Amino acid sequence: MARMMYGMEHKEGFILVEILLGVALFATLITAAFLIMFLGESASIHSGDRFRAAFLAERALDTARSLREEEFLQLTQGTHGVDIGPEGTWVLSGSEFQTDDGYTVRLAITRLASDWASLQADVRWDHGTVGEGIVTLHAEITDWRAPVGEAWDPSPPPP
Amino acid sequence: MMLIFSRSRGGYMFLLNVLFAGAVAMTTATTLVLLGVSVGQNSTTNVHSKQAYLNAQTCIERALRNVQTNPDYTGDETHQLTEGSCTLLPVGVSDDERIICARGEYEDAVRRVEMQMEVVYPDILIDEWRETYTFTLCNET
Repeated sequence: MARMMYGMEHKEGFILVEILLGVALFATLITAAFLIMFLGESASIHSGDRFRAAFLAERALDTARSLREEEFLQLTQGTHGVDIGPEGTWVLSGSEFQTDDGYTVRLAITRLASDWASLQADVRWDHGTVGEGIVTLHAEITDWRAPVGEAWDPSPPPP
Repeated sequence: MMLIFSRSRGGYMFLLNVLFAGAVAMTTATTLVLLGVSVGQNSTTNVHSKQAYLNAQTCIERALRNVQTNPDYTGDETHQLTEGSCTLLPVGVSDDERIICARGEYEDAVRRVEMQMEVVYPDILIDEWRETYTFTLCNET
């Protein structure tokens, strides 16, 4: 009888250890699965954000090209925002442009010569716990629509 | 005896269910991670490709600026840019017509832009300006 009682107590202890091990195993698996899912989802969201940022950076550079088509002198040296003006055309506005969905767009123009400019479009956004995301694109544009030099003049030189 | 066997069997079934559910969850999670990594590479390639295209355009702009002042400009040069580089192929010359081809590179991305222009003094007229997979107006060796 005493041996039976000892067996029963021993068995109950063993069951408790089994339950604890089972719960620990289950919790570990579920936690790992959720963590990995969170990482995967976060990477997907970050990639989507980068796509959008790259589009916005490209648009900022296109704004500079658009202004170049009108008048090269409009590309003033400095850091600008880009926006749509009252006439429905792209204009340089302020020192940065904030989109409704939290992207900050900056277009830095460096005049390399009177007819040559270097452009840098930066787009930044808050990526939550991961930190700040940034996409930068560089380009150069020239005032090639200006009249060509006299070396091209086909008229014969004066006698 | 039967009771112990039945309890033990129930425990095994529960354990198997936990392992099966865990395996499904882990497989789903791993798939999501691989998908995330793949989309991440895609977005990085997208940015590199855009920069390579802008580099090619930069070379074209520089060539146009040179052609503007110098009818004898020959191209055939490589420029190191802020991000990546661009290469101008030798400029094709025919009277007042010029053919300019540029290859932009950034990381592993390569983009090509070619153009044909004509100088009708004092203006530059663009006949063609396009991106190509392989040059059609120039020979790239």
